[in-house]
Amino acid sequence: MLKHASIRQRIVNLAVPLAVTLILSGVFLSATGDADYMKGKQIFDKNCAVCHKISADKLVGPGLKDVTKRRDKVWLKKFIAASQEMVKSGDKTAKEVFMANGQIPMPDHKFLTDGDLNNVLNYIENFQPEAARKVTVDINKKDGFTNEEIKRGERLFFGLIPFEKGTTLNCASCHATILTDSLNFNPSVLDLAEAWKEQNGTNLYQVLSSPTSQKMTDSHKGLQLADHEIYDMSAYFSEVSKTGMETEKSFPARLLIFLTLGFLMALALADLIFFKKVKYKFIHIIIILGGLGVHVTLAMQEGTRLSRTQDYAPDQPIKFSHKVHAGQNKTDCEYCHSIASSSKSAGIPSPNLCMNCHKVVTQGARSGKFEINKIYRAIETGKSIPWVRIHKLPDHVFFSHEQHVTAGKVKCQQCHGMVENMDIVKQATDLSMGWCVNCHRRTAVQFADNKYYETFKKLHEDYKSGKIKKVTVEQVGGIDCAKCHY
Amino acid sequence: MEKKYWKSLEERNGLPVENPGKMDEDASRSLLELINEEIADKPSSRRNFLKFAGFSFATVAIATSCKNPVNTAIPMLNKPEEVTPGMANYYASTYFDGQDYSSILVKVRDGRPIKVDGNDLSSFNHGGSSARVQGSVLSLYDDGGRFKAPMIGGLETTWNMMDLEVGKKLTEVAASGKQIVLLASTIISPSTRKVIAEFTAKYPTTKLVTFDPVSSSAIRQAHQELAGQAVIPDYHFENADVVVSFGADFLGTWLSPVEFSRRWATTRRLTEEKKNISKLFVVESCMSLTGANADVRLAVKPSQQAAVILNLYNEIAAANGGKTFTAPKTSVDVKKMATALLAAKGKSLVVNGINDPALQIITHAINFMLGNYGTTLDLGSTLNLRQGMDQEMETFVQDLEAGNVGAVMFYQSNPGYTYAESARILQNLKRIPLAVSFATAQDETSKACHYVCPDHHFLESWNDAEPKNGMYTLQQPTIRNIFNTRQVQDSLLKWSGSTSDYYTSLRKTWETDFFGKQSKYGSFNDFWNHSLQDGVFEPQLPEWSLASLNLAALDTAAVKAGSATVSADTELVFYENIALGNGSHSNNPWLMEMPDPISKVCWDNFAAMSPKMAEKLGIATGDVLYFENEKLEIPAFVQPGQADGTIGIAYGYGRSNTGKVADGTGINVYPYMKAVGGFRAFSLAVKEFRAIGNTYQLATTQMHHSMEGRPIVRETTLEEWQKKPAAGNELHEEAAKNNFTLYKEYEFAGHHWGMGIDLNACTGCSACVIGCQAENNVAVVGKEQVAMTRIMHWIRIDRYYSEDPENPSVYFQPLMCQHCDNAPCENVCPVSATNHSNEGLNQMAYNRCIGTKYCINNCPYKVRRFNWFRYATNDAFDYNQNSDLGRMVLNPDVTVRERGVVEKCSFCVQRIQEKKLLAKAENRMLQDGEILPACAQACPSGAIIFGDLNDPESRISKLYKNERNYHLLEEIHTLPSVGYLTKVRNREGGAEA
Repeated sequence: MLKHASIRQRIVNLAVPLAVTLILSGVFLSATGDADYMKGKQIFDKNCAVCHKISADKLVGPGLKDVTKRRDKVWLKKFIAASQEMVKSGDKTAKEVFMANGQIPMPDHKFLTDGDLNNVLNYIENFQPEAARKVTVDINKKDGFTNEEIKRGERLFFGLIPFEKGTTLNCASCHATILTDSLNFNPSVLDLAEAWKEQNGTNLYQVLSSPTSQKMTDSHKGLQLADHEIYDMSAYFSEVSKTGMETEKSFPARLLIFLTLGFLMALALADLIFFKKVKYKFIHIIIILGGLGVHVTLAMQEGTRLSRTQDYAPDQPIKFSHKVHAGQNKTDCEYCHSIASSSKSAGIPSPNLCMNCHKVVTQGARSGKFEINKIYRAIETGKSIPWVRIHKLPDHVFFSHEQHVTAGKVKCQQCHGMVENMDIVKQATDLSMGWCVNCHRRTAVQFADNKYYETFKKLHEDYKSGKIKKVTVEQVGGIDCAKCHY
Repeated sequence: MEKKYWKSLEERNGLPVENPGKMDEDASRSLLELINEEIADKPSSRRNFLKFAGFSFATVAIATSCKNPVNTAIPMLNKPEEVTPGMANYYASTYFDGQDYSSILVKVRDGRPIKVDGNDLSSFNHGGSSARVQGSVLSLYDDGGRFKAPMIGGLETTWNMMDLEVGKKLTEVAASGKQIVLLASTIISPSTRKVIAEFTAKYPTTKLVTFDPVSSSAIRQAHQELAGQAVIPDYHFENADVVVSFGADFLGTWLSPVEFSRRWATTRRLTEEKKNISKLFVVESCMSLTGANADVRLAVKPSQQAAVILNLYNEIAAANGGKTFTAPKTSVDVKKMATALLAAKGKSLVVNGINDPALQIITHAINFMLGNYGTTLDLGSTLNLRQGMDQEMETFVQDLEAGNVGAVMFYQSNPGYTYAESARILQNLKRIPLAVSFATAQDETSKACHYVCPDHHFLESWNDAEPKNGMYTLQQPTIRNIFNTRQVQDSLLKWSGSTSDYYTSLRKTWETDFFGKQSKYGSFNDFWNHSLQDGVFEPQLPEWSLASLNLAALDTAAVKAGSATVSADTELVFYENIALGNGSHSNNPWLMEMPDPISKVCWDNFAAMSPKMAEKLGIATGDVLYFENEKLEIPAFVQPGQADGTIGIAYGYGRSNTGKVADGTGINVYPYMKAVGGFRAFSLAVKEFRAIGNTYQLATTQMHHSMEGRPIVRETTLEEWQKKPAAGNELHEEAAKNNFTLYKEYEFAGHHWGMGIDLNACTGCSACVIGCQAENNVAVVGKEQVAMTRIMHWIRIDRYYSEDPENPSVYFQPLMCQHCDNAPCENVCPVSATNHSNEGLNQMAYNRCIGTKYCINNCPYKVRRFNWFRYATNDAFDYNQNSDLGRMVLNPDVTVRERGVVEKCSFCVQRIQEKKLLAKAENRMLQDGEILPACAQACPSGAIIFGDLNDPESRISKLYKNERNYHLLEEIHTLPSVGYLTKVRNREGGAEA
């Protein structure tokens, strides 16, 4: 994986050789006296290349290889400037050319000066095929990039190298490049890379030039990429699609405390026995006892946390916001998790359920079309969406949503937290056995309302006579092993 | 007088019981290799200690520091309405393997069939099933055995290529005028018969040859001669007060055991109103399940049977004024039998399992004289099972050898294994232009076929069945075909040039043939959907036609039977194993490891001989015998009750080219079962045999669970029970009297689950064992481990003998965790991994268990099992749990146990929880009988009931009040939650006959 943090360092390392290369190549070009050639190329690319190739092949107009040998230069200049006038005025050659090319008129180019025309003709005359010039790149390439290309792409993405066609935009300011715990509705670099990889036959040109949503149009205004930039970005995407994104690293405070205290304790011990620099022994003892206390506490906390996953909030394949759906739009939990009331599992909605609404709602205010398109893509390709599972009990525990939702009438939020306020869902509770059992001890069952509990005759008598106020899950056997483990 | 019960001959004779766990040197070595031979053998040293310590610390460090894995939860793209993830769907379907039939209910969880049970809507099996039906779901996931694609010459190919080649060959053969033979076991599907007819229309030289390895063609032949139609009547045991069976194991294997078990069991129940039970006489050579349940059992040599049957006929005929014949004298006294039969005229039944038409004619003549046709014998709704006539097969083999056959196609038939002279078929398959196998899984015949067109598994197929005249059932796919297979019917239709597929053709058959037989549903779609949902369509069954039998054939038959002489030689008797049947399921590890109900041996067949004969010849269990002329080598097993002068051997073993479980397990004895006079013989006289001096270890579960002579089985006779219902159960009263405690007793606020087993209804068939195994993910451990007493079954059938070892009385007792309310296991657990629930369950928390095994030691019933290995995912236990496909059968509602924990019967607590929740969701109380543990559901005779002891109206509460009810070892005050009803035998005091 590329280390983003060290990018600046590497820029410096690379800047000098890069500059030297650039200067050298510039010197080389001017030394061959080829400035006119470059001017001609620019004019040709801008005005002519849409219809003409400099080869024997026809594109829209005829191939222009050796055209200066076929025709007189003066005639050519005249024809380029205003071909239709020549045809109408009865120029024989012009007429022939017009008829031979399907009577498609060539636009006039009266804005070109004589010098420009000379440069263009010079360029056509002296045109060197691509292989020799290494300017054109395969913008459809999907794999097999060199390290240098990948790094250049990465810098472009981060805005460390400006785009040639001048724009202040840089990709990384909107598209996330590391996994974080806040929801960025724009597609992340991994999303982009995967979309780029998946769509065969398209390249970044096409994607950028036909934005799918208003949001995308607005945010990419003025962005034009050159061929080699596209190529380099492709290289970067190819790399990202392979390596994935990096997680944000948190500062290891607890580990540092642990180690520092360990070091202090070792010092205190050494001083106590060997050096005896500190006079008062209670200082040593306080340090050692205090340190031990912290160590044990930390070990216990970390120990109980092992394989528990409270606060786990992984990135999901779609930037689905429960806050938007359940909070703002007030969609009922069971509209999507429809089997929670009738099955062991709550169920993750099928993409075709999403389509109930997203047939109409095709773009989001913040995410544009990119995220919603993933539903359509799933349905088109027949590949369902691999959601990342957050709540997972150990294998030897059997939990039934139906038992809790239907029979127990427990609110979803009691275990899952205020999901309607979460953009990214996280595991709100630790799902440990102690947590389960404590709830079973406190919570009352639907004793009076559910006829099933009539089996408990003695409890019913006590309940009716007011001897007990409520019947907890524990009282009907809710903390027996075999209620959950079998 | 106190009767003495014993479980093995060594125990009875007071000999020291050899520790069955003692393994030979080689076997124990291979287990140690699981660790590391080098380290295990060396003395412990500092270096070794450091090595192990370092390894352990590193493993723990890595295991705990690893991050939690990222799990994905992938929803269905488009969830069908009827599918709810996490909840099971049930589909009615049909089980028919060419021999046994059952209407079934398939439990499908998240797209995977995981359990097969009987369909309670069927009047055939009424929800009951057999071990093989229960085990059949596992064969769906047989990774190694099943064909994965069509094959030509051993190479995988496509169906298009196959159709092209086979089509060409078929046309060639048809043009040459040679026969195209479809060799199949019995076909009971009306729609499949239509498909075959269509195929025959296209290729007119087609001939259907039906070959049943375990044939009943003599019954059909007898009825051909007696009633003018080659049928097998339906036997109504439920109407019979007296049943006499000549070698027909109708509770275990004969014709339709699931149905017959239920029918017979209804006559054995005792209630307030019904104070009589039927009486069962069995005359047989090997100790069969039916013989074990008999009131009077007589052990005779097969060659003696003719004389016994003829003598019985004479007795009956004499009393009835019929014609008698000269019969050879026999040592067997048939008078008592005859008296009993004559006393129950019209309410009796004589059945005969011997494949000899002469004896069948006499048997059915007896039935006719007793007026049983129309009451216990039904010629209207006749059985369509076992349609094969042995003569057809003989003709086919002759035709094949003579070169008259150009093409053979094998459907549900494996004569390469089951036919006596299989080489005559297999050798010729190479010579003929076209040999096609439709086998689902590899077998001996498919190996010799150039073309293999694998059929779907029956759980992947559409089909229908007519097991009895006028009783129809449907089979529907419960999963999409796992491999690139195609239904036989579709293959045949394709080759016939038909454009329709089998499903369409099946629907058409039902529309044209069956839709009109009912008036309940107006549209065919309605009718079809309802039939499919029920699985069965049972219009009014045909009338029981009381045929007037033509007894002309009797004379010849009687003369033939009268001239039969008792062979002086030792006779081999070939019988069917309860678990494996005819051998087509041998590659099923569940069935292979199911202990035979009688011998308690699994993973092998053996030569069973009587104790007297063994003593005379100086042979002990495990000695390898060699039969000189037959070139047969097989270990001996001393079996009480085996007729003197006979040796019983089970067929269905010794397969090759089938898969890892069956290949080379046991000895194949089909080669010795040749046809005699056109009918397959199931016995053979042998001249010379001897012990060759080797011994062979048979894995038996017999000695594992000995209860050391305590009063476990309680029995009485009908006469005494009628006098005093608590007869034989006097100890119960005494135990109840002493039943007090100083300790606080459990209070069961809501439910108190209990189970009751009627020992009179239990036949010992072991369907519950496999049902439990399928439901509770019980691991298969293999022969070596079974021999070390490590079988994992949660429910076992204990079998006890009493009285004469040459012809003992036999008792079966299903034993699972007794869920004691004062459980000895609970108070020795140091970590409280096993404790009592407020519903009376003895619960077992695997994740808490640390494997001290104290509970196992302290359990007086020996029902707890220890996981010595991690059987799932361990390649040393190469059965089903170590492959992804094999694990598909696991029940997701039951934990797969880890190594080092104890497990046992949970009363199917997952089902209890499920039904309780259903009641809560529907806002009602639980109904009695709603919760069915897997064993109770599987039981074909309804011997096991389950319910709430706190509900005074429940069946279980009533059973507990029955005077026959007792608990195992109740005198030690464990307060079990399982009650047994004493066994009541219909015999006069002591042994008869």
